[in-house]
Formats: sequence, structure tokens, C-alpha cells
Amino acid sequence: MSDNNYIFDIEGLNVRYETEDGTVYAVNGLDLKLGYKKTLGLVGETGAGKTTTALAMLRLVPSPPGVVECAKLEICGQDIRSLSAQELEEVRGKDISMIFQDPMTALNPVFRVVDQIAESLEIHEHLSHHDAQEKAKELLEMVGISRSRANEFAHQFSGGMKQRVVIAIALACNPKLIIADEPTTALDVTIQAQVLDLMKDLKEKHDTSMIMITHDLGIVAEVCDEVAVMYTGRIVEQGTLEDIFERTMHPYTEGLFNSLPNIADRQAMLKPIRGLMPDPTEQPKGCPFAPRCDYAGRECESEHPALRSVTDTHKVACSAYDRQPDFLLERRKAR
Amino acid sequence: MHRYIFKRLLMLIPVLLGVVFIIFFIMDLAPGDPVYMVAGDQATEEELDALREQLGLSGNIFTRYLRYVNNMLHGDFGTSFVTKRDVFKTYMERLPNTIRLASLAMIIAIVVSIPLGIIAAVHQNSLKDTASMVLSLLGLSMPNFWLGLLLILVFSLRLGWLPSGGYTGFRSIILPALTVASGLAALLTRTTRSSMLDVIRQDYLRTARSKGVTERKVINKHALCNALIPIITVFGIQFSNVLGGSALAETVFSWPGVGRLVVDAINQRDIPTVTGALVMTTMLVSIVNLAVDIVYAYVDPRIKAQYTK
Repeated sequence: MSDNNYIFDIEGLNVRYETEDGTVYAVNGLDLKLGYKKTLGLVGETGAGKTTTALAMLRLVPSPPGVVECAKLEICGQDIRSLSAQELEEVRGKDISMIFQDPMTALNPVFRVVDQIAESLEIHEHLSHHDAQEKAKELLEMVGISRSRANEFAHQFSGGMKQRVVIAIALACNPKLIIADEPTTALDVTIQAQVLDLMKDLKEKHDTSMIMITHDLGIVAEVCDEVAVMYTGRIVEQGTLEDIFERTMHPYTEGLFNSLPNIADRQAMLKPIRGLMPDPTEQPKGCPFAPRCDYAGRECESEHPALRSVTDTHKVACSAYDRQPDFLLERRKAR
Repeated sequence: MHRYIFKRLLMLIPVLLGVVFIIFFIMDLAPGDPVYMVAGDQATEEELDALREQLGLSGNIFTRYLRYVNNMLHGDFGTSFVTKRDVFKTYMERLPNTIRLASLAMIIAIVVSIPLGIIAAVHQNSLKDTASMVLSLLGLSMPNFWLGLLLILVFSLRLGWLPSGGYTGFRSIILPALTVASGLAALLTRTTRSSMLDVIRQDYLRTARSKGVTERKVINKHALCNALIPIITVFGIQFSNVLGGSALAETVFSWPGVGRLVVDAINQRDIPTVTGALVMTTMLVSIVNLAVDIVYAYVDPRIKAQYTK
């Protein structure tokens, strides 16, 4: 077991979905690692490959049509690629667990909520049925659901409560790494805040590392230590929270910030990123963001920018910095 | 839930009244006067009239209907024209044989079809899938009586392992049960497969996998429990069908069941037996349907919530 400085270490992750209508390149050569007890925000538009990356980490990409290739996939010091099906089942839910995006469909409609939480306790902590039920009820209370509702079914719960159940399932065995896939997207704002607070508390209490997948930069600012910005299955910029928010380097990241409504200046027009994400069935020759980039030059169309380090913590994939070392985004100039 | 069951049992009454009327109506439309069957060709007009009165065939369809319902409520299903025996008694003698055949056929069908359907769904588009689909197509399209004859030919005549008909203990039930089961298993396999395919890509299975649940349990517990409703539906329909008697299989194997009782009675225009047997079958079918609806509630809590509303 090499490098123990990282909770996970991924190199060269490629995921594609081979369908009859063509191959969708969901994740393309992704490198990502995270230190212990840190929270990484994985940010990007819908379709950027965030969820696929998360699923690939648990080897849950459905196959077929999914094809996963990876040069290195170490989580909690284990080489996930080499695990047998049985070893993988031991890792899932115990070392790594995942909070799914859509609480409406993530719970099994025909099993009692308490049984769905207790199930992982029975598997991983080898608790008796009765003890597991008791612990599951405690977990429900921890996420703010009265234990009197433990024997109900998912359809009797509101969306926010379902999401908390999903969180309780993920937290049941105190995993070392939680992958939270847009845990608050399906919730309304007041519940969002509660769920985020809850997750922050639990993370601190149990020293858990976390990947927070989201497209909401507000959430990132609130809970994350590090941020990776994804576009078309690639990391385009990665750094600490300050790197990304204060020293933004990639035009796409800037675009994401510009698309946020500014509550202080309500007259200001929103500046969405123009254009659409490129067709994921085609692999562009140059920078995939070039067609939508305000700074793009002719070189951007032909050469593919590599992710390179600017400082110890900050990485960016933009060739503007190669051509023009003092290049600055508008966002930075304004400061 | 109890109120729901009670309501459903109450609803049985109009259903049975309707069924009796429809049977009366159809038998009335059928050509030929049943009284000749009993009296023979030589009877005089007066004798025929007297016999009509005696057999309860006098009066128009409504008076006969009301008379029959009245008797039925007193537990009297009439006497067979042909055997002169009590219809209810005759039916009850035959019913255990039909239940035996139906149950064994259903058990065989379930044991074969559910694993086959699951395997086909899990390995969709693979060789296993294609093979099980071809097999079930064969089962669906093969006429029951023909399969029965083939089985007799091979296992009774050629190999001499099993009796070719009648009811002489457990060995004689095997061939008819296999014959009935083939069609049932075929449809159940297809239902299981398509229902599993609907469920198998659901998000909650991914949740289960992410918890570390074994793949076997993901399929056999998390997926199957959600796929059960259509399977139970088809099972219920099939079970009530075979309870009504598998006329073809019972005829081929001279199985003394309800199906053959009805077929024989129709051929002999034995109206009391036909009516009585069909009313009893209707009752059985309704009870099976009710049982299926109750099972739904235990399989899917969302359905239970609807019942108790």
C-alpha cells in the first residue's frame, strides 16, 4: 500500500459508455487526489462527468454500456481495481459510501426505512437484527427523523426526509470517505441548509473525508477545503478554496462564477456561459472549452491543454498561460 | 384492511348473481330442448310438459333464474339431468382432483419460471436470455393437448414409466401437471423477465450495491421484491384458470377434475351441472382474486396505503 497521505488517489481515469448510437466519453484522463479529513468540491455543469467519476470510484458504473479504464485507483490505501467482487462488497458502505443525487428514487419502495439503514450495519458491523435496528433508529434521530417513523416506507416521507434517510444509510458504518452526489439539489433551500449543517457536523465528528459533487458554488464555499472544476470529463482547474475563489485561473471557472446571481447588485444582468457543452460522443482535438471561451485564440482549437501546476496547490488546464505568462482573467483584473 | 376484505366479499354477491344470469341466458340461447335429453324420443307432449315442470324448465328465463337463485341461496344447486345426482356433491368430489393438479402445476411453473426469468433479465440479450425466451415461446405456442399426447407417447407408451391417464396416486398426476405447467411456466417466465428488466436499472439497486449488499441479494431481494406485483398478477389469473379446470389436459389424461365435468355436462346439455359448476368456479376465481389483492398489500406497502384509504 503506497502513498498513505491521500484518502484517495486516482490517475488516468477514463469512462466511456458504448451505446448503439455511439460512444459517449464521460470521463477523460482524470487525475484526482485528496488528503485525509478534507472535503473536495467537484464542480461542473450537468453532464460534466461528476457522477460517473463517483460511480467509477465505487466500481458502480453499469457495464455494459460502461467501460472504465484507470491507471491508478486507490482509496483508503486499497487498490480498488484489483478487488474481487466480495472484497469490493466489503469496501462499499464501510470504507466508502455514497449519498445519491435523487432521494425520490434512491430508496427501495418496498422495504421499511429502518431496514434499509440496518442492512449495512448487519453486513459490515455484523450486528444482530435487533441491534442493527436499534442503531438504525439512532441514526434516524441523528439526521433529525423521529424514531417513531422508523417503520414507515419511503413513500410516506417527504423529499427532505428521504434525503436524510439516504444520508443516514451512507453514514451508518462511519465510512472513511463519503461521496455526496448533489445531496441538496432535490431539496428546497431551507432544508438544504439543514442537510448541509448536518453533514458538516457529522464530518467533523467522525473525521470523514468527503467529495461534495455539486454545481452550486455557494455550497462549495460553505463546506469544501478543495475544489476541482470539471468540464467534459476533465479537470480544468483544481486548487484550494481560496485558489479557486480568489485566484481563479480557468475561463470556465470564471464563467461559472459569472453565472451566479449577485444579490448585492440586483440590476446586474446574469452572464451565462454562451453556447452549450460539446457533444460528448466526439473527442475534440483542441481545448474542449475553446468554442465557448471568450479568451480563446486560434491555438486553442488545435492543442489540448494539459493540467499543470501553477503553485503547490493550484492546477489549471489552459494554454493561455503557456503563451502569455502574465495572462489574467477579467475577474482577477477587477479585483 | 379488514374493511377492504369485507367490502370485496360483499361485492361477490352481485358478481355471482350476474354470472348465474349470463349462464342462464347462454344456455337458453343454445339450440335444442334439454328435456328431450332426459325424456327420450318417444315421450308424448303431456309427458314432456310434466317433465319440464319437474326439472324446473318451465316458465320464462326470469322465473327460472329467480327459482334457481332462491334454491342456490338454500344451498341447493339442483340435480344432474344425466346422473340424477346432487350437483354440489358431484362438484365437490371432483374439486380436490382439480386442486391437486392445479397446485402441482403452479408449483412446477413457479420453480422453473422465476429463476429462469431472473437469469434472462440479469443476462439480458445474452445466450441465456435468448435460450430461455425461445423455451418460453415454445411453451406458450405448443398446444396443451398435443404436449399431453407427446408426454403420454414417450413416458407411458415408449418408456412405460408413468400411467397415461386416470387417477391412481401420485405417479398419475405427474404428466398432467407437466402438461398444464408448461404453458403457465412460459408466461410466468416472460412476466418475470420483463418485470425484472423494469426494476433492474432502478436507482435503489445502486443504493443497495453502494451499501455493500452482495449482488445475489441485490437481485433476489431488492430487485425481485419490487418486481413481484406483475408476477403475482399473472400467477393469480393462471391459478384461477386452472382451478376452473384445465379441460384439455383433463380430457387427454382422463383426469377426473372439474374441467372434464363441465365439458361432459355441456355435451350432454346437463344444465344444472353446467350452471352449478360454473357458479362454484366463479366463486373460487373471485376468492383467488381477492387473495391476490391481499397479497399485493403485503408485497407493496404503497398498495396497502391505497386499500386503507
